[in-house]
Amino acid sequence: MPISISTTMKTLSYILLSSFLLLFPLKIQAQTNEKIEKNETKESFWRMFSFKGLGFSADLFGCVYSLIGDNISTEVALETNFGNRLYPIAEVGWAWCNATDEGSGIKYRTNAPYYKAGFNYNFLTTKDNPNPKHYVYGLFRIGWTNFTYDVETPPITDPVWGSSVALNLKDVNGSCLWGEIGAGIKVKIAKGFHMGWSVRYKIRFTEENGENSKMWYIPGYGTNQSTCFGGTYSLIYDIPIK
Amino acid sequence: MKEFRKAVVALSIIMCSLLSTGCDSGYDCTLDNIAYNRIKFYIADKNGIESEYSYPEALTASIMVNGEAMIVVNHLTNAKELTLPVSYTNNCDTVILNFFEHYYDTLYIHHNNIPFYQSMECGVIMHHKLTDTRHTENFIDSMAINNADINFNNNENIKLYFIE
Repeated sequence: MPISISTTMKTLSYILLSSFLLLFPLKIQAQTNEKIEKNETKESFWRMFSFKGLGFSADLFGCVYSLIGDNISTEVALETNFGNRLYPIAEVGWAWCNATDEGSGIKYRTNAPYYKAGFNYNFLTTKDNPNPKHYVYGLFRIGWTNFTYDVETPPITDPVWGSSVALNLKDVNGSCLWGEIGAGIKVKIAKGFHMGWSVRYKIRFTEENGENSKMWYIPGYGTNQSTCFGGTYSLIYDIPIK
Repeated sequence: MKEFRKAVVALSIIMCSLLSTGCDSGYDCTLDNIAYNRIKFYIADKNGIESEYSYPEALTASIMVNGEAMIVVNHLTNAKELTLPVSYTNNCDTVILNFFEHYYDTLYIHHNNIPFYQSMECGVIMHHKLTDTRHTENFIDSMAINNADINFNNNENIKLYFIE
């Protein structure tokens, strides 16, 4: 029985259309799955960084360092816990320095607050272990201080004329902006309490010195160098939030 | 606990590498504690065009220290400039230039003295700021302050114009 060309075309069209219609629900199904997956990923991302609580910490390292150094610096911090991973932190500290160089007899005094803001990131929190007891974290801070300092020097002698002149500067204004990167460890010592230490590499960004002097000690930063190290030894209290 | 140990090891490696970079003061102490006043010689033609000058004969320069002349340059030929110490406490230094043994010019250099505290380690250094100059006119035509800051930057502080 001969088959006409139009009949063949019609049959082909039916097959193509029906197969497309068969595929269409599959495509819709796939799109729905993708959406669900995306939503789940979004949800799990937000779950990863969900608010878990607040913490209050006090640094003890500066006080201990004052036993060997000629300055005292201590700070308190308020940290927010997001998913036991990310901890945005605001720190406020106070530093005292009353140093005398035994060789030259130069005296340098300051007594001022400093401020830092930044975050810690805990590397030990994973999907399998969302609530680790201990923390190993990397940290980043931006620090700033604006302060006054005094400098007293013994007389310096003119090598040609032989006359001498002393320098006595009072309430010289100075300020400094710096960054800190580093790492630390925090271990649970009792219910609601952690203890930990951190080591920080500090980089000075900007400094504003007085007209006739250069800052020697900067509150919160340390001795005025373009880079330096610092440390903290902190007691942390997890503030219970219902 | 295994993860904690691994993290502690990784942290120790990171901190050791950071510590190995050390601290950088970014500031070196000035070894020579005297900032010199740098006076450069010039000559100007009739059209006022200036050019550097080297004095062809023997030049002797002295500074007055506590009422007495102290020679700082003795019979220097082809001198193009002078570098002179500046008093820490006086506000005017007197410089005597001796040409051809018997001819003299005197320069009066007025300045403010600025003690500058560097650090505990480096101590205090003295900077100066030029305020005015005067001179006699035997061989010297004029004097001009080029850079008033006398410090450790090797500035050309004064331009000294000789009579053509």
